[in-house]
Amino acid sequence: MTDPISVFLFVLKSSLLSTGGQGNLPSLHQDFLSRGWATDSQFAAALAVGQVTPGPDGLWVVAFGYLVAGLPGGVLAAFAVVLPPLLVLPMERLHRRFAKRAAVRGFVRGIVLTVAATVPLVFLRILATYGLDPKAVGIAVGCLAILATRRVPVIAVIGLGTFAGLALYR
Amino acid sequence: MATAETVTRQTTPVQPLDLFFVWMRAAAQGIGGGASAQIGAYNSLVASRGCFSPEEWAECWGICQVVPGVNLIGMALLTGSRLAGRMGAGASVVGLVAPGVIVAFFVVMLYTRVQGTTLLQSGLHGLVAAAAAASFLNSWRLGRPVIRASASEGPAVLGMAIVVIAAAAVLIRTTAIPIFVLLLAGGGAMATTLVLAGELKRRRDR
Repeated sequence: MTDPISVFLFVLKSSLLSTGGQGNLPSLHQDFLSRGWATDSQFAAALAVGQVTPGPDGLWVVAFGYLVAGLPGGVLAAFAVVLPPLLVLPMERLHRRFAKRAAVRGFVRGIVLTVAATVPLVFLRILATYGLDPKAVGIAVGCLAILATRRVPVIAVIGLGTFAGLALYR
Repeated sequence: MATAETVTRQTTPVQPLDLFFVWMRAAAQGIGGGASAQIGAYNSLVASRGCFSPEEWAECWGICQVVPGVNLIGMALLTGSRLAGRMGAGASVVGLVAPGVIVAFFVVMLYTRVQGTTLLQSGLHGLVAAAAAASFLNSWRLGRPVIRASASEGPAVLGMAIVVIAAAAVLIRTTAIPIFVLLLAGGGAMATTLVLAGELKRRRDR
C-alpha cells in the first residue's frame, strides 16, 4: 500500500499541471509506475470505475487512491482533485486583464495540445496490459465509430464495449 | 444600467441549497462524461431559471479553460460563487462531486471483492477498449479547436502546434521525461511562438 499523503501530493501535482478530467492521467501514470506504487491493471480498474461514476470524469482518481492507498488514499485523492479548480475564483479577477495576452493564450494552448497528444497513448498502454489484440482493436474502432456520430451517450457506448468484452473474452 | 440578465437574477435569488441540488441533478446526468453534466447545469441555470445569459455562461466556461484541473468543478465553483458567494460555490461543488465520490467508493470496493474473476476481467478488457476509443475522440475534440485557432494565426503558429503534438507523443513513448516537463515545454513553446508571431505582425502592420 502507498502512503496516502503521497497519493494526495502526486494527484495534486498532476492536477495542477493539467486540464480536464483525464488530463492528469499521463503524469500520474508515470509517477506511480516508475516508483512501483501502482500497476496498469489498477489504472484500468480506476478508469473503468470513473466511467460509471456520476459527475465530472476526473473522479476516477478517487477509485485510484482507494486501490493504491485504501480509504484514506481515496478521500485524499478526492480533495486533491477538487483543490486546483479553486484557482478559478482568484483567476476570475485576473481573467479580463490577462486572458487575451498572447503568452497566456499560447501557454494554455501548449498544455491542451500536450494533454491531447499524451492521454490516448497512456490509454493504449493500459489496454495493452489486457491485450491489444484484433478483438480489442475491433471493440475500440467500433466504439469510436459510434461515438463519432454523437447520437449515442458515452455511458451507453462504454456499456456496449463492456458487453462486447464479456462476449468475446469469456 | 440594469440589463435583462441582472433583472432576471434579482427576481430569482438562488440559495446555496438550490445550487447543491442543481449540480447534484446535473452530476446524475453526467455518468460517463462531464459534458452531459454541464448540459444539465446549463439547462437548469441558464435555460430554465435564467440565472445567467448564454454569454455569461460561455464567459465562465472560458475562464475555467485556463484554470488547472477538472473544468466542470471550476464551473460549479465559479457559477456558484457568482450566484450565492462562497456558500454558493461550496454547495455547488459538493453537489457536483459528492454523489460521484460515494458511487466511486461503492463501485471500487465492490471491484476489489470480485477482481479476480474471469468474467470481470473480460468485461474490463472491453470497457478499457471502449474508454480508449472515447479518449481518442476527446483528445481530438480538445485539440481540434486549438489547431484551428493556431492555423488562423499563420503557418508558424500552426507548425509549432503540430510540433508540440508530435514531440509530446514521441517523447512520452520513447523517453522517461517527466510529463510536467513536457507540459511546461509545450506551453512555453506555444507561448513564445504566439508572442513572436504577434510581434512580427505588429512590425509588418507599421
